[in-house]
Amino acid sequence: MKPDISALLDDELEPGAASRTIDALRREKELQEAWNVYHLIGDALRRSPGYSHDLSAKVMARLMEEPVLFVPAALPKRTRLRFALPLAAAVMGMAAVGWVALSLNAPQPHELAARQRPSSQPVVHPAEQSPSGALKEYLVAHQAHSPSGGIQGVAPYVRSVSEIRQGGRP
Amino acid sequence: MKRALVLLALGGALVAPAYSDQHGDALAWLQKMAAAAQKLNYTGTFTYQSGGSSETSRITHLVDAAGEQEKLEVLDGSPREVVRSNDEVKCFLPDDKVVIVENRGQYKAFPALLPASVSNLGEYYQIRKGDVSRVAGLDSQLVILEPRDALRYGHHLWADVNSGLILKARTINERNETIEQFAFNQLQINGIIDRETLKPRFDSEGKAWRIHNARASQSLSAGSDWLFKVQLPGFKKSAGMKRQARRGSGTETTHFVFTDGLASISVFIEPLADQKAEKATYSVGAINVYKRAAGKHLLTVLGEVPMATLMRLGDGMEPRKK
Repeated sequence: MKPDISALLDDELEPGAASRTIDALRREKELQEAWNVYHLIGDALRRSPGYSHDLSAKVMARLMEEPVLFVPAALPKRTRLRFALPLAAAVMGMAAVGWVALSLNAPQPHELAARQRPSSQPVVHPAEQSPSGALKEYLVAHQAHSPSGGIQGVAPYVRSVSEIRQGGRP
Repeated sequence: MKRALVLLALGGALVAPAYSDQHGDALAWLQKMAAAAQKLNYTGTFTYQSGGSSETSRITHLVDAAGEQEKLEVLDGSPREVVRSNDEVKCFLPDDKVVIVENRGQYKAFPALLPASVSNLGEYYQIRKGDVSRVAGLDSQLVILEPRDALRYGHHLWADVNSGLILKARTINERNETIEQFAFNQLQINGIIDRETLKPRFDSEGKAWRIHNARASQSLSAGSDWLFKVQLPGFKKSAGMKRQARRGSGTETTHFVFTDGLASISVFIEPLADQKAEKATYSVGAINVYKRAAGKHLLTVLGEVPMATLMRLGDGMEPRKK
């Protein structure tokens, strides 16, 4: 049911499925919580100023019991949360919640990112960081026309092939 | 007063050669590194670290009558390989069963680039020698390139004192943090290398592999219908190409390269297939990627420079009105 909640949040459900999901939401407390958490995640990811701290306190209490996934890079400026992808939802949700936990606790969440970025820059969630095939080819083409290849030989190409593995991570 | 001026002038005369010697010496080291990378036979393993992950690869370089052969094999995880035979580079991605084939451009030779851009490089980077230390059991000379503005990253390069080969390379951001590092763990220079070891382990002729071979042709007119409203100081357009689209979809991509002599930025312009394209950013090691839609085109701007640099260039692009 939870994937349906996230799909509902992203307005990706058929009308029939949407009303069934809303009915279920009315009935089940657990789903209501999921709904709230997804909103909180969405707000935090989009850096909306007014996400609820009351709710976050409750969420935080539950999070203390959950494992935290450290997310290597960063987050989207805005845009659709891809919770609708049923399989990815659980993993992504956890990664994102982990990040929310960190960001609520830490004064400077970006300190935790392996690579630091000024907060004004749009950044993309790692789960969305699986560049298309075209991008891999672009990386190789870029490398081939870079002067740094001349002083380091073929070594920098390791980036073009390493990226596959990064994109494959949850 | 007059005496003070004379002293000043003398002082200046004494200081200036010391500075230029330092600078010139560091540039000579860069030349030496470039020459070593092309002329030496070597084989060794290096560790590549970025953003908390690290991978070890074996690299082998052979120069003989047939030219330059080079091979990189990733030893951790999926056995990816990059094989270069003179100007042709093949990247084998066994997980995807894909081979990406690319022909290197005119930047195959860094020394050829250096003389023209020596002054440029010094204009945008402060170049100096650092300490001598040991890397992979060899004495190495550190050369530091510190950017003079926020448009580029800093680079620390450690070169083998004897051969000039780069033993360690680090990319540094504006907060003086390492964002990427290559470092040899073990290296054998000028040993005997069996040519067989440079062959790819995969047979890309096999039916299971898909070959992505974008045919690029230099084009003087490439991108003349695009306006770059923002000029990045020090980055000069070094190439313009038309790329034949992938897998016969019939579209054509324009590829520009801008370089300051060390770092480079590629801009790819392709027709936008669907209208859903949203702004997106990615990163791979020190390479950042910025994507955005511009009218009916998708722009992909990438390079080993800070994201803000890519955005300045990419956001300043627009199609010329006809």
